[in-house]
Amino acid sequence: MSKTLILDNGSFSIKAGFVTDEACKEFPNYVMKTKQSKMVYVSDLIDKTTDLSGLYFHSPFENGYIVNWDVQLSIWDRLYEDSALNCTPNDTNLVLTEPIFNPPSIKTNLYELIFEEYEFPSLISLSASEFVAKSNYLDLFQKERSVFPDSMIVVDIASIQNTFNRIDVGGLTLTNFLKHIVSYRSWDIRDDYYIANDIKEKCCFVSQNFNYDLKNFKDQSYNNKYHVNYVLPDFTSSKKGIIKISENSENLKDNEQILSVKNERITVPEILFYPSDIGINQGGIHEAVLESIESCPERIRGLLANNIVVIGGTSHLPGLKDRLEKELRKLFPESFDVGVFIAPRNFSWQAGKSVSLNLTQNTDQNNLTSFLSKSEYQEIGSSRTVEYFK
Amino acid sequence: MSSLPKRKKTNPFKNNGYKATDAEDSDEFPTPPDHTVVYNLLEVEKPFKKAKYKNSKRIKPTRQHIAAEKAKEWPNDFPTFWSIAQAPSLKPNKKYCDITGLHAFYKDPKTNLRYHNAEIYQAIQQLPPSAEQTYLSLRNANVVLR
Repeated sequence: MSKTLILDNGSFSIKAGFVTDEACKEFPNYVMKTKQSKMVYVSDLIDKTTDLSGLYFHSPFENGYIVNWDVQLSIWDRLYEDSALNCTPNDTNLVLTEPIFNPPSIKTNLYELIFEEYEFPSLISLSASEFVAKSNYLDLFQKERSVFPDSMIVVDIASIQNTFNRIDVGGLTLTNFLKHIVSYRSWDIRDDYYIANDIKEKCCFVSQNFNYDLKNFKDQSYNNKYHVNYVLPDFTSSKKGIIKISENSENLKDNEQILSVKNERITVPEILFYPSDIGINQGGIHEAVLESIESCPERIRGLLANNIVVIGGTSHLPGLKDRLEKELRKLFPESFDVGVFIAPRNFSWQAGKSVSLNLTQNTDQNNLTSFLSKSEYQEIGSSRTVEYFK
Repeated sequence: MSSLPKRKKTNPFKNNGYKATDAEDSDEFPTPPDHTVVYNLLEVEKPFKKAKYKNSKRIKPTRQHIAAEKAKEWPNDFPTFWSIAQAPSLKPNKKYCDITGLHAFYKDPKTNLRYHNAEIYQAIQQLPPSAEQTYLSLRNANVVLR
């Protein structure tokens, strides 16, 4: 049997690995150029340098869609090298995630590259959420909750198509906002996307009661347990910053540069719920969920409200699950149970793996997708391939 | 041995990914161009330009992709990128004071500035004319004359 590669092509990092692997490897989906030495590093090769201040980032993605193909190609070339994945595209089946509502003009480019430039013998390409819905990994949540097994439903995405909602807030929006307010208040980190992203991942959390927490942050004394000290990396001894709780502020060394992160910890993730705070005239994620569920038939709304799965990197902000449940509780009728589940890390990669395993073992009863082989592609061409994956 | 001080190498094209060749690395001065000959600029070798450099036309911003999609005809209830955008929140937006950033309880009907309390209203009244437009432009509410 030939190998199958599962490639979750996220806008921040690529999660890749073979079907036989237990876990996937993560690669940054960026080409980076250093400020001092003017060297160019592709994806994970950035680990070889310590010159990390003021990196220039070239991303293949814009608004979640691949637009810069030259950058994407060089990253994929790096992925298939021996030292990274050791993959030969000629005899490897590819399972690829693509953004939801990918425009056909981008899709045709994508399929051309996969079949003509890399010559993969076969391909499945779906959005990450479709993989999650089609995988049997959703059982995972059932065991967690010990409820009646038939309360879990998998809705065929194709049948209820007009239930999507999009909010123009993502992980990048949050990082950029954090970068702005930190640069205005203390250190100038406008050029350091790398650090700003690290601060966001380590310090930010979703507040359960925003106005109450905001008052707690007002106390400017050293003992305020809400404030954290982020020790900025010096790029010689440390590549990533570390957290020091404010209480131990006497233990801080002199040569360390401290960034005190205060109410940014909660105001940045709050944008997810109130995008209007930064001038995006849209409702928050709780309102998007409500609207999606209300556009479904009435008899399944209660079931859907009980089975909301949140995927993606931003969903790992601490406290998001409880806050989303709390906000949705206010919006839904009393008879509904609200259940929100945060998918574990690399969940869509695992889902892609389970879909491809199902296909090869033919265990999936209602088989909705299948591999598209290269010969079929050559028969129908790239523009009709777009209609194939639907 | 020349008594001239060592010439500091400057490389004006450094930002364009330009790499100095071996010849330029030596400390010799480059030979001055012969001004008596008329050059055809198209044929002259331009060492600062990469021979392999190709301006990639493949980069097309998402905006253009979506605009191209929008031009096509779509069924009414068919979900597309622009039709799935989340509607504005049902709750009214929070309003903040234009001067201090505190919660705005009032709005000055004359200048359209939002303000927190009477103290700030005093300050608004002492503003020089047309200064309120700079405050309004912070939240894109200023009047633009065209």
